[in-house]
This record gives sequence, C-alpha cells and structure tokens, in this order.
Amino acid sequence: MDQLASLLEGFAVAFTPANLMFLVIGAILGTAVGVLPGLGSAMAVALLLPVTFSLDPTGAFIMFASIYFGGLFGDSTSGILLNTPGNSSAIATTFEGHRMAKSGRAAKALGTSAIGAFIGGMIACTLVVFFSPYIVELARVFGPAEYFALAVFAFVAISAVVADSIVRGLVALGIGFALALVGIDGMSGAERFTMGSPILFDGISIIVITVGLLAIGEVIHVASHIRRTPAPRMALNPEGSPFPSRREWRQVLPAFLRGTAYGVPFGAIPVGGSEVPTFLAYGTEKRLARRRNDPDFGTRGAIQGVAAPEAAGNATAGTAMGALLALGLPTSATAAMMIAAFQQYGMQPGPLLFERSGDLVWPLMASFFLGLVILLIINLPFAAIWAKLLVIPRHYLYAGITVIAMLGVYAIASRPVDLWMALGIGVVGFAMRHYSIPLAPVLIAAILGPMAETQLRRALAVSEGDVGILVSSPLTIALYSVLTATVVLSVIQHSRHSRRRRSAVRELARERV
Amino acid sequence: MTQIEPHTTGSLRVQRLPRWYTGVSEMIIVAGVLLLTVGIVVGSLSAFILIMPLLGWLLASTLLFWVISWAFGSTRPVFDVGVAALMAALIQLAFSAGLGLSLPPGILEGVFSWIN
Repeated sequence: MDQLASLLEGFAVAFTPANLMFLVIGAILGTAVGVLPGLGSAMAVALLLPVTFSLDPTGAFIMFASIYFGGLFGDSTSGILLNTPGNSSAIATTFEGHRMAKSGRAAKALGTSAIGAFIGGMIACTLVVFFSPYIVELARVFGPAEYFALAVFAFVAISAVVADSIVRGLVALGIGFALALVGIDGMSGAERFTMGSPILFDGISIIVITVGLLAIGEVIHVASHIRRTPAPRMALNPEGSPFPSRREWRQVLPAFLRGTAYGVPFGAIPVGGSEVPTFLAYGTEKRLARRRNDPDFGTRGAIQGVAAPEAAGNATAGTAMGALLALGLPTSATAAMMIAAFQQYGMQPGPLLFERSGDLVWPLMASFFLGLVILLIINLPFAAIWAKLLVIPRHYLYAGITVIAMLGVYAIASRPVDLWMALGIGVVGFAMRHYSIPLAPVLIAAILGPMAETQLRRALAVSEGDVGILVSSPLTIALYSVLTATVVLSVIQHSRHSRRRRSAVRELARERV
Repeated sequence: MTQIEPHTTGSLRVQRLPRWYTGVSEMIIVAGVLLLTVGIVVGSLSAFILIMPLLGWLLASTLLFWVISWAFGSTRPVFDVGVAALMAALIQLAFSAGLGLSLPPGILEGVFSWIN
C-alpha cells in the first residue's frame, strides 16, 4: 500500500491554493474548448505550452490534465443540444443524446453524460494509481529494443487500426515523420532537411505543428465550406433536473460500468484516443436495447446510449494518463501534447519519472481525482450556462481561434518565421482534412518519432548493427506478434467493411433505378 | 435537386444563377467563391505576419480578427471593429501585465510608453 501513502502526500501538494487555482482554470478551459466546436483539448494544451513556460511544472501539468479531462466532459454538450459533436470523442454520445434532447430531456442527457464522465474517469484513475507501480516495475526491464517495439506498436496501431483507410493513416504517419526529422540530428550532429538555413537547425517546434494542423487547418477548412453549410439552428434549451431518477439510476449504473470496461483497456493502447471505445460502448448498448425490446433506443433516445459512451470516453483519458506517466507512451493527440510538455521541462515520462520526479507524479495523480470532482461540480448544475457558449456566432469563434493561434505560435520565440511555418502546415492540414486523412497520426509520429529513432540507434549500437537484437527478448516478440495479429484482424475487417459498403452502394443504386 | 442556394458571406454575395446557367459554369463560379474565402483567410494570415512587426500586435490582430470574421459571414462590420479591438487589447493586457511576455508594440510604441 505504498501507493496510498504517496497518493495522500500528493493530495497535500495538490491542495495548495496555487495548484487548486490551476486545477480550476484547467477545468474551466477544458470544458470550454470541449463545448466549442472546432476546438479540442490537444489544441488548448498546445496553445498554453509557450505560456506555461515560466510556471512551476507541477502546476502546469495539473492544469493540462484537467484540460484533458474537461474536454471530454464538455464535448457532449453541443452534440446533445445541436446534433453537432464538439469533438470526435462525442460522436457516439450524440446519437441517443440528441434524440433525448428532442424529446424534451436535454437536461437529463447532459446530466447523465457528466455523471458518466465522472464515474468512468474515477474508476480508471483508481486503477491507474494502484497498477502504475507494477507497470513501472515491468517497464524497468525495458531496453532500447523494447521501447522501439512499443513505438512501432503505437505507429502501426494508430495509422492502420484506427484510421478508416490504412493508406491514409500511413500517409499521415509519413507527414509526421517528415516534420519530425527536420533539424540537427542530436546523435551525429548532421543537418537534416534544413536546406542550409540556420532557422531550421532546432527543428520545427511541436507547437507550430500542432497549432498549424489543428487550429489554422481547421479555420481554413471551415472557410472552404462555410457558404455551403447553413448556420446551426438554435440550441435546444436544457430545462429540468439533470439528475437521473431512481429508476433511471438502475438503468444507467450498469451502462456506466460497461462503458468504463471498454474505456479502461483502450486508454492504454495507442489507438488515438476515445473514438473506438465510445463506439464499442454505443454498439453494445444498442444490441442490449434490441435484446430487451427497448422502444426508446433509436426513437426517443435511451439514457443508456448516453451513459456508456461518456463513461468509456473519460475512462480512456484516465488510463491514457497512466500509460503516459508509467510507460511514456502517448495514446491520443492530447497525451502526445503532454509528452511535448514534459520535454519542454526537460523530463521524459516513463519508469524513471516515478523515481526522479515522484514529487511531480503523485500530486498530478491526486489532482486527477480533485479535477474530476471539480469538473462534476461545474458541469452538472451549470450545463445550461455552458450551453450559452454555443450562442457565440461562428465568425467570432473562428476569428478568435485564428488570433489566438497566431498568438500561441508567436509566443514560442517571438519569430515571424514560426508564423509562416504554422501557416504552411495549416494549409497542409486543410488539404489533409479535405482528403479525409486523419490528423492524430501526424502528432504521434512527430512526437514519438524522434524517440523511436534514438532507441533504434541505441539498440543497434549495442548489438553492433545486428538487427536481430530487435526481436531478441520475449517482450519484444510478444509485442510484435500481438501487433501482427491486430494488423491481420484489422485488414480483414477493413476488407469486409468495404465489401459491405460496396454492396450497400450497389443496393442503393438498384433502388434508385 | 441541384438547386444552388444563394451563397452569402457578409458583403460577398453570389445570387442564385439564372435558369439558363446550368452545369459546369455554375460549378466554376461556386468553386471560385468557395476558394475565395480560403484565399481571404490565407491571404489575411500572410498579411498579418508581414505587417505585425511594423504595426504592432494591437493593430495587426484587430485587423486580422476583423477580416476573418467578415470573411466568415459577419454582417455587422462596424460592431466587429469593436469586438476585434477588445479581443486584441485583452490579449495584450493579459500577456504584458499578467505573464510578462512582450508583444511587439509597433507604431503604437509611443502611446504604450506614455500609458506606462
């Protein structure tokens, strides 16, 4: 029960006024970017990175973590009220949530999603606290070859398994590697892709990449179709009690637990965040509803269909933080941004972090719990106030995003060159959105790529160039075989999906005729 | 089914085309207008980067905010100037007073030193 003692010490640090303030700021910011369409927690963390440079690292990470959780609290609001999910993590919640809102139960849907997010996050964080020392023990035997295998696993999983199209995922991964390679190679001192310009010697800042891809790319993308899409209708007004009744509690509690069960394992696997588990949770609820002949599911909206995906989403965030701290493995875009933040402070997440920076890790873990409580408090009774954010006209929203993106990039080093690079990457991001190439693999590749390269070269240096060292230990063999199995499975699934899609199109065409 | 709605964006407006304009020419005009917004956004960002060191953060970001909100379909350009200036000023205040980071004052340098 070592963990419990460390956690209690962590609570003592997290309860200081300064850290509580960062926690509340993070919770409010996170919920706000979650509620607003077009903004995500990854972008919020990226924009805050230069600003937090002068802060104490514990406070900064407490703020980032509560932004991460807050984003998952807020993202269902616009989905439920407007039928336009604020983030991809809320798509699964939107189906039943918006149906509930249309049948006059908007407040209940919002309340259920907040409680679900809270329960999912709490369970996942508790598991992380108790299992992280064991994961750290496991990770301590990791050598360069194992870390490289882990990175390869992350690359393949995020590009091939999650993306709709494997080719598109690999394209995104390639763009990320290309951006990460620019600069002076740390091991040999060779210039790579700098075109002889000293501006690029330090490489392209990850903040420039993230802000360019996510913020500027999004603004240009919205600009390209703003005249085709009508302005969103007025949001439905959430009225009534957000709390489920006793009968509803009996319905949603098992759904919360089922959702959490999907979310917890997926947070630790690098499949790019919470889209997959939220959809799995939604699918399960749909099947269960059909089995018990629930007439509400798909018509008036069933409360379980909101509860399970929300719990799954925040459970993913909890275990993702665990994987990030204990293994140094980013499993979503926001987690990848937090790795960048750790690097900014000269720390490398992973097993060594628990030894070297225990005074940071445990307060951070304690702040997860405090953050979830604060998020529940600011989300459950005040959902109607957050919904007011949706009244901000789109033109002010995107103009504001543009100005803040420029500010965030300029704050890195006060160089106009960074702004040009962000604009260029923004145009690339627009093209990627246009051709539906996923963005998360770019960030994972850009952040994890250099680490994978270093570990590969270390491993090869130890073995004096013998590639066999990469598959020499049972751990690496296990990782690569799991990877092969997943890839084979996903390829089969992809081909089956596209066959089904093709036949559906054919059927549609036949109906038309 | 292929009816073209009027595409409006503040002062930019393409009316629904007459009936004898069918097919490709409509598509070209619509595509042109759609790309126009993209062009305005990219162009205004480029212009912002160029003039920001000269004009200073306050004026340049006010301009950027105003142009983008106009391109995104705002119909109250005068009111927008106020919103844009307020936003730029708040950021400048928060950064220089709150966080101690300096944003370029540009041609307003004299005014700033006078205020301080």
